[in-house]
Amino acid sequence: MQAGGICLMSGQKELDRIQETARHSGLPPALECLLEGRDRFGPAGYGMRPDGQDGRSWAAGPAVVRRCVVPGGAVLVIRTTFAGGPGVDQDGLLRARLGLVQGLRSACTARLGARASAEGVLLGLQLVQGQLAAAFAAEQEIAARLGEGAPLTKGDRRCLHAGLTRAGRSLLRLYGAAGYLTNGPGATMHCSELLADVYADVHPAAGDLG
Amino acid sequence: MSRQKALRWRMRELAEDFRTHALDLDRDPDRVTSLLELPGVRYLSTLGVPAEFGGAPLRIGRESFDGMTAEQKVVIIEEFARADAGITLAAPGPSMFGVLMEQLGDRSQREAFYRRILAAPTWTCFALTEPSRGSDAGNLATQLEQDGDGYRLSGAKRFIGNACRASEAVVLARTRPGPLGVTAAWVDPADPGFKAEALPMLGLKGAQLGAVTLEGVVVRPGRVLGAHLSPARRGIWSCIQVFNRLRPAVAAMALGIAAAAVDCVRELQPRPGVATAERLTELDAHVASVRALVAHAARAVDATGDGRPASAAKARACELAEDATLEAAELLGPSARAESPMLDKLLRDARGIEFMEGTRNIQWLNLLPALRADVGEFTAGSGRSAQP
Repeated sequence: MQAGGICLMSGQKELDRIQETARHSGLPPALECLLEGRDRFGPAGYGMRPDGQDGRSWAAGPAVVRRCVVPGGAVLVIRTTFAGGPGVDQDGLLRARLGLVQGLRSACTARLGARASAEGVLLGLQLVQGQLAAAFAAEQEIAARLGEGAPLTKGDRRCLHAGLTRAGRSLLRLYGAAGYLTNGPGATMHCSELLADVYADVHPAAGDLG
Repeated sequence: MSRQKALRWRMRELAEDFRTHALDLDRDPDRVTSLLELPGVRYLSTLGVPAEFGGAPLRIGRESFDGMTAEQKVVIIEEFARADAGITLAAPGPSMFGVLMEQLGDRSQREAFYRRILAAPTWTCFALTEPSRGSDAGNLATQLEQDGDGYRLSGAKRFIGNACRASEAVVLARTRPGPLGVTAAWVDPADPGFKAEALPMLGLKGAQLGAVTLEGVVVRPGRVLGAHLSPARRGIWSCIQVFNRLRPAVAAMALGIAAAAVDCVRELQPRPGVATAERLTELDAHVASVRALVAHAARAVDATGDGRPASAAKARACELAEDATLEAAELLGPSARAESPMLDKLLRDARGIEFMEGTRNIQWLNLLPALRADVGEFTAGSGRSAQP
């Protein structure tokens, strides 16, 4: 279904599938779910697609402006000069980003439980526990809001995307310098933020910000 | 014009062409070799060489700046990082190794080191951080073992800036268990057994952080730093002094990135609306506030060597760098990061400073002794009640 350039997903099951795919399989598969087999573009004409998908033929028109390596593959930032065309489901976008944060939280917890500190493991330190718990609480808040199923305004979505970005960055800080490598979760979170940058319909119309 | 303002303006002039090359270097860090004639890179290549060993102070009018104090360095580094943090980190020069050399080097070592620095653009590296141990100097595993008149180094290091380019390296290693067993060895990365491999970083790519393996690397006689000092003055103590002295400059780098984010918005929106202009003014105020803290921290280090204000500065500056770059993206509207490679680079670079010289958690823990001192003052019979 399409309405004014915004793609509507068929329901809760699809949204759950996107979230779980993001959580357990990472960004490229989650992006595939979100795109539903075609190039999609955000309000400013930019889009993203997985790179090097065997057997998938993407539209030849859009220009590739950036390539980002992530665990499990790479994604491309693309641009079209044609106005209109379908965007992504905004709820699906939020769910995908939430799933990525959940995946990071699990990986981060496991890592902190395995890394030694002077008094045992890093996960045993109160400062670390507190920050992990704070990120988890933020994740739960966002999950609860999305779980209500209520229609979201642009302001709601802006708030949720900002919350997902902050939660992701809090977890990456706990992950340490390994979270700053292109073949690690830092790259996934960077592309998650790019997803929001490209697709999120959160900005006031031109001129509203004054 | 005040002395600090004069220095700031001159540094801004020296670094003004960094922006032109910033994205190229981000794409290909090896391009730094084509940037050696940039005035700012040439300046950084000898920043930190004392006058007694041939360092030439920068003269601005009647003022002279040797670049040796933290108070000067925070201005220099902020302005250079504002132009581009990647090129600032990629530039040759004494850098962290130089600060350690000033702590531990004897006169002949300092002479030899600075002679190399002044003879040609020289990359150096400071190898402390180890895989799975972070930068906890007390837990070092790299071994420095006696071998005839000299020593051999064995172990592994990780996230070492300029490791792949360096022709002079200092490696923190252990001669025996315990805090007094840590020492610093000066080695030539071209020697057999020293291998450095670039790590794929998300940002600050100019720094070309590397993973280093050390397989029996020779440490020549006379190349163990601090041998003329007591064991208590070498190793961990010296590391702490080095980090204290460097921390304000690391904070200044984060501050520079924050300021660059504000610059980016102003360049891309030269006629902002009222709401955007107000938010930019608020960001300016935040930058000015953190700048004051960074300057205060620098003066504290210069006066007493106390690194705790610099811990506050580093933590606050890193937070500001992330906040300012995120806000810049929001102010510039949909697809701002996709549209502006420079903004995307600032967002990536901002996160990287967090991992330099200790994360926020470490910096906050560094502040605890100062807080405890406050509590002690209030409860040790001073007559005043404890703060809630």
